[in-house]
Amino acid sequence: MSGGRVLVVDDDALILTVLQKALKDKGYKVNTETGARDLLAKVRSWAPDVVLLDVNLPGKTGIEILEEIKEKGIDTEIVMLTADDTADTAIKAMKLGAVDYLTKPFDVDEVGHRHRQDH
Amino acid sequence: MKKKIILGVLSFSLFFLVSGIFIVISIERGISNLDNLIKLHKVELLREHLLIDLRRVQSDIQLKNTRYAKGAAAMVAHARSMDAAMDGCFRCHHSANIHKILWELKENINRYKEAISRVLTIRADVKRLEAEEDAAYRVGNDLVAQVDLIVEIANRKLDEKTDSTLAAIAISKKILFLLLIAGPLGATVSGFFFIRSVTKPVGVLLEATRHVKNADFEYTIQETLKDEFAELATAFNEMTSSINRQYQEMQRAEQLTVYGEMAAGLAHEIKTPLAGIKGAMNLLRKENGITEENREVLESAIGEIKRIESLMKELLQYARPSKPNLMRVDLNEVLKDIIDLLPRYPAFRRGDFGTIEVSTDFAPDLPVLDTDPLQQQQIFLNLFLNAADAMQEGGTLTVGTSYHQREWIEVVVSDTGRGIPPEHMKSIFKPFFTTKPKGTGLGLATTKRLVEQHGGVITVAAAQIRGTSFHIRFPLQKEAAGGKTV
Repeated sequence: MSGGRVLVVDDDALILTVLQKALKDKGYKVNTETGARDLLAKVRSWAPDVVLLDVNLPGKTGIEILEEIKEKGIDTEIVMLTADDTADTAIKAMKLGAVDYLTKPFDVDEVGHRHRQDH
Repeated sequence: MKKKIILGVLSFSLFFLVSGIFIVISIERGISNLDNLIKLHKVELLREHLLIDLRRVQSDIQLKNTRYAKGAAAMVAHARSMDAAMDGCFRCHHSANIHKILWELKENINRYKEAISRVLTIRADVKRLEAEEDAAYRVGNDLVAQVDLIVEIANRKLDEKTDSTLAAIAISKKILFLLLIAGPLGATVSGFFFIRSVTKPVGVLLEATRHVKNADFEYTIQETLKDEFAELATAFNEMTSSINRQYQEMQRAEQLTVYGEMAAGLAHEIKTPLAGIKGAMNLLRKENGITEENREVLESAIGEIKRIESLMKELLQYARPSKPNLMRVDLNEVLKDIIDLLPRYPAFRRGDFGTIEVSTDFAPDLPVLDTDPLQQQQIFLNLFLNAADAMQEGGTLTVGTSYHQREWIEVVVSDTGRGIPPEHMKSIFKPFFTTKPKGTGLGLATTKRLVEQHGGVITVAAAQIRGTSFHIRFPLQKEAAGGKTV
């Protein structure tokens, strides 16, 4: 889905930069957020097709944000980013409605691949 | 100890019994000797009495014709008293020798009595009367001399007897005093040694207990104790050794938990920036304007990042292994699956210098094991890959299973590789110990941890010149647990 909108949410500046560039290079429209603040408003207003959501965010966790998005019925697909390689978090996220998860450190090519798989 | 106490009490009783008997005998003997002495003194008085009677008769003869004369009746009475005193001698003396002497004396007294009788009966013939009086007086004098001699000898003997009796009493007294001192002294000294023989080991045990109280579980009782205390010391040492082992295991488990948390936290913190770095390098590598030389630099940097990733993964597996997902497993099947997959691993595919043969010896009807099949794969894959590394010039990997019904299942993994040097035997299961140039040293440590997480034990046989054998034993659950069989 070249041209799709991807919102990347991570508190790590380098990850944001890398993902933004990688996804832009693949033709996606990319927007970034560093935390939970104003995130829901951004999701509503910009209406991304996919949200790449880090699990460990300052303030609220990615899981909590995922729950909120799903509760409010916002139509967007969510892929979790996690540094925890035990399956527990991923299983929890999938149960809550995430479509996939990526374990850090992931391969940049893998990010695009997952998107193409989804769409 | 009990024997010693009984023996001690018996010795004491015997000592006091013998002492008591000795005291009673000593007293009896002393009394008897004194009684004899009293009797002898009484006899002595009788002798003196005889002498006095003799002298009285002599005196009667001398005074017969003077105004001091007491008359014939008095002389007769005195002579009878003398005779009675003489007869009294026979009542006390019974030996033949003394009787002989006494009979001689008696005969002399009879002659004396006859002489006195003549003195008293002659009336008319004055000359003859004087001659008879002189004769009687001479006989009387001889008798006095004879009795005097007897009295003197008897006195000397009596003195000797008295001296010897007093000496015997003095010796008995000394022995009694000695016993009086030796008894309590012996009791005190033996009591001291006995109390010391109890308090000393108790002190040693108390000291050991204090060490244990202060969590010094490495303390062992070195002193050589005796009897039941020796058994107690051995039991105590075994107990502290067991506590120490458990304590160390507990500490190790706590340390591992702490390290696990630290490693997990550290890995988590590293992964996020590492993801950024890796992503950034991947992007740069794909940039159009980059030279081939720079691309190679980036690729080798990415390779190093992958190494860090793999190290962190292994570290996490060791430090914080996931909880086993138990199910009923046929270990033979798990091992067969891993062996089937081995050709995929480069270590088993090299074949430059020789091939690695895999030989199996699986026990038929192996009981199912409640275990995590994925963790079992990890355990045995680690061992098989290690074996392959040890057989770079080719060899045979042998995998065998055996079991003891309702007790345990054992898997033996042997190779014909270069073996493990004796100096490395103690360290092979320690984390980060490796002899491989690119090894992390976590493989066997993780294997051991996973085996122990299943309640099992892993040991390595070191006796061979070449080759290594790992023995892994898993306990079988006694009750049949539910679950699916893989």
